[in-house]
Amino acid sequence: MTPASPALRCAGVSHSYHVDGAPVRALTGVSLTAPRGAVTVLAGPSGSGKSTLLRILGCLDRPEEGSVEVEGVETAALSTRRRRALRRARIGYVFQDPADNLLGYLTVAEHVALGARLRGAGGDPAALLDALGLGSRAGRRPAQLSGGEQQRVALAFAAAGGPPVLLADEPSAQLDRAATGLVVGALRELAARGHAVLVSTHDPEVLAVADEVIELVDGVRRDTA
Amino acid sequence: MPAPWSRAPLMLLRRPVVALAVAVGALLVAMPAAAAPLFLSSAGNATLRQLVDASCTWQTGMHLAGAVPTRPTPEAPGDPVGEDLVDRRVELVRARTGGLDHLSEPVVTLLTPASVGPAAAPDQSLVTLAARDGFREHVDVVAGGQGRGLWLPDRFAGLQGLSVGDEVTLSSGDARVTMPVAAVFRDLRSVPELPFWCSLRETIHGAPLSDAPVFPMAFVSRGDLLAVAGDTGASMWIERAVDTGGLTTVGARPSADGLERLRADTVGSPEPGLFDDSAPYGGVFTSSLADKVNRSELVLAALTGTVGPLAGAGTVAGLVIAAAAGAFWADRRRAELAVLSARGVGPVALGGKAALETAGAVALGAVAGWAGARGLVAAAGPSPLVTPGATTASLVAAATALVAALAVIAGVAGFRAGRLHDTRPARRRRRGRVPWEILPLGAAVVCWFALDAEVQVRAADAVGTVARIPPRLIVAPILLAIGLAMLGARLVRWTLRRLRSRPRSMARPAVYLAARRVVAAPLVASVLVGATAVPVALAGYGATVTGSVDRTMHAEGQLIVGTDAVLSLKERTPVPPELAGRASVVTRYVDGRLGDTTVHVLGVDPETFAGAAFWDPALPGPSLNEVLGQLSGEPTGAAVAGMSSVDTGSVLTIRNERRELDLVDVAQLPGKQAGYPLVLVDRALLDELAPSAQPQLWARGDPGEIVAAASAAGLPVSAVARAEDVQASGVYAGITYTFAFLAAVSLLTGVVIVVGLLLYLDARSRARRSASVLLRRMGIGAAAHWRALLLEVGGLLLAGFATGAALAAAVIALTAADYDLNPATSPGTLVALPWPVFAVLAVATALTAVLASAAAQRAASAARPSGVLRDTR
Repeated sequence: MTPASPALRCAGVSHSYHVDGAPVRALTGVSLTAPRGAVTVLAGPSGSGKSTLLRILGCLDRPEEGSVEVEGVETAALSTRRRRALRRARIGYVFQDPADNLLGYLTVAEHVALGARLRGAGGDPAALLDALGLGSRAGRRPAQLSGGEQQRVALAFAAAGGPPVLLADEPSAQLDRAATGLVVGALRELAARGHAVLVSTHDPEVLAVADEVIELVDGVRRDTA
Repeated sequence: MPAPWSRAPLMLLRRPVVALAVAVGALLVAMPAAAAPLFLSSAGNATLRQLVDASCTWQTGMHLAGAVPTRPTPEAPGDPVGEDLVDRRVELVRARTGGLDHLSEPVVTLLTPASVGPAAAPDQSLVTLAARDGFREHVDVVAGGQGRGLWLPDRFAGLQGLSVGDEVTLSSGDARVTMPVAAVFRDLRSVPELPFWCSLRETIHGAPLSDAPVFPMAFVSRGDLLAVAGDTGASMWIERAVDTGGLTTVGARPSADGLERLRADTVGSPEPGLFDDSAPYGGVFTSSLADKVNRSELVLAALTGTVGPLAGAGTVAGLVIAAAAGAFWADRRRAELAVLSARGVGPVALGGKAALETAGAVALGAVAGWAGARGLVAAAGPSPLVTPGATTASLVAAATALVAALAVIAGVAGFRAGRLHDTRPARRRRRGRVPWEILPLGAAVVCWFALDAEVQVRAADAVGTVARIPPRLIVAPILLAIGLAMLGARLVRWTLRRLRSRPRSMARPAVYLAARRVVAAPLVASVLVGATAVPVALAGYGATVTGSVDRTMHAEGQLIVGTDAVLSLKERTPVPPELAGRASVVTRYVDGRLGDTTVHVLGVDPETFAGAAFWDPALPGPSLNEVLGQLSGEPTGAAVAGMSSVDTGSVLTIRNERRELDLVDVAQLPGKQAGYPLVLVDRALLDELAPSAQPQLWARGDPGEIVAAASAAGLPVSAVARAEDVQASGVYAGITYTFAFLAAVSLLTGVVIVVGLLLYLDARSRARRSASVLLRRMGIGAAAHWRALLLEVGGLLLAGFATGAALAAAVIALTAADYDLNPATSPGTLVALPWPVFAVLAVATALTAVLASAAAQRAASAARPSGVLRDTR
């Protein structure tokens, strides 16, 4: 990878689902790049293919067509095992529902420690938690946190160990305005720490902090930013 | 942060339902695996116990018979005689069998005939004089019992006018000994026989059908008997009984081997005269313990071939539940697994996590499975006794089951977790692809032809044979039923998938809801149908084999003898009133000729014969009543069985008498024995042709009662033939035990399906709660929702039951010919369809559906709308 190359790149990604045997097109020829240190936003109405694209970029699904590169590594041709290793080392993923991101029996600090351990990294989780405004919540479990706090913990869990790519699927969808503001701040903080942050949303507050906005409509990219 | 594995073992405590499912899955794996060695050992021990109980305990243990001279003989002038010889023999027996378990102390019996005088009835003064160790504890003393002297039976004492204290003289040959009457006891012939006396049965009661006189038995001390015996000496027995308490095949083996060594010593003893079988001392050694142990081991060998596959089938069924429990765990931990999987944790690690979390529950289940198997065998097995080796084997089996269950749970959980993300697109299946379900069907065919079809197991050392259910009759049908059930499940799935895309007609809410739920989950529905079908098919098949083998064996014995009991009479007598309606007088002539063929001829009373003879409606050809209806007319009607060809109008020749018969050829007749065809004619005809034909009394019912009734009526009985004795020579314990184990496995698979159903209901409980709340909001009440549940669960179980019944019918149709364990004996297989078993299964299925749906409805009704509507996951 050259220093100027983006952390994440995809080209000509197309994908379909099969409903009762009939194919339903979700993405058609989508290309994008996400550089380190920036917040890139995938925008678009519900059903436009944002989550599908995010899952493909996060190596959680395979595209039918097209290529995906993570830090210069072409992922489409990798074996499942290699893709899993790539996911573990280089990609942090945050699901839409806060409850889908956390383990109920771990504390906030333990989440961050586990995330770092999975990536073979160590260190003190306090710095990351402090940076995301969670320093005082380190000993609490998810059930003792608000929705906004849970989603920030999810971001911390995903970012622990320093993966170059952070993907977040509508992280503010279930949050109120105040909580959304804190999550947005966390996203900016993580970008500032050098992660390539790619977020799907149609929340104006998230869109407002984007370095680049990529709009999807019916699975097709429409450049607006 | 603590290491992940340190927290895992306690994780399952948060999900008690999952823990229970996992523990039950492990229990269902461990129980059949552990039960097999325990059951086999129990069956072997029970067989040994039966064989020992069925014969005289002294002859099973050790019975050494010889003579005791009272004076030195010319052949062995220096050998001990009299009591010295007795003592030395006992000492020798004790020395050579002293360390053997399960044998009583040696009991010495000396016997000699003697005359008692003075006698009021001199022509009845003879007694069999005996000196038997411990006899005082086994007689019912009427008077006396102290001091030296003669013990007399009460009948004899009364007849001779003797009482305690009277002086009597005992004489045998030239010897005469005077002593007082020390005791009077109840004559051993007038009291129920005790095991202590079994080796003296013929001495006390006389040999069956023997005209030899039987004398009352009187007792004296050993010294007095030898004094009475005088120069002629006495007969001597040294006996050791088998103690059946705690007797096992393994424990009995050293004793049996020790006794066999002693048997060898009696033939070539280094101390002539003590044990050898040469004159004048005799020395006949009898012990059947080794033979009985060998036969028990043979039964074990016969059972192993069938119990092993059955246990394997049960274990596989348990592993299916363990796999379901693994899937259940994965479903309940789906969110966590999704998080970890998204972060790159692989299926192996997640499977390991499942193993760590479920290990405690699996261990508990395996321990419970072993304990359940041990308890079941102890409580309901053939014998509560199992050998230590079997216990060890069952523990090893349970431990193996534990590992297997854990591996299956981990494998399934890891597989499910691995499919949460990044699955490869499903490859388009090629049309006409061969379904994998034909694998068990192919295995069934291979097993049918490859496995042993022999219905008897023979011992290498020629101790005999034992009957068994051939392994292929167990293994192949199980595979066939499972394969067909899987194919049926595939058909159900295929049908439901097509129904899903069909236009939906509006029906009543309950029907609509049930139908949509079933159609929406074709995989689950088809698994439930297939899983219900398998235990139903196995239970139906097992019960049919059980009933059919029993019916066939019963018919074989009955047809050979003719009925339950046939009493040969010295002269013709009327039927005793007590046996009226179930007995008939028959005449049998064994040297008739039909054309050039020698035949047996049975003369029967057409009015009463059908009530006395055996007949099974399943026997081929005309019924017995139809046959009897043809025994009149001109020319005379008759029926013949066993002729290779019959010319109507054949001539029956008895001695010089010839009679033209209108013969009907039938497949079977009661009383048809191997070797000769049997001709059935009216008794009046046989009386006319052969007045000396053997009269017999044929009767149905308990042979003991029949013989007692005949005895009470004073019938001159010369011999008794019992149908039950026909099969008595074979050892059929293995068959009985196989059926018992098959029934247990069927029951176990029934438990498996119930557990599976509960898992199914629990897995869908969230959706059901939501549906219940939403339907209530739409005005559809709890009753309608319960009806929908009942239709959903009941419909699937009913379909499974019907499929299982059809599978059982198919398997029975394919294998019925093999249910005859004596194929050389008529009449061949008589199938007994177990309607009561199917009725019980149907009721159990319906009850399961009602209870399961009611429980699910109760859980759904308890849901609160606020909670359900907030629950968006």
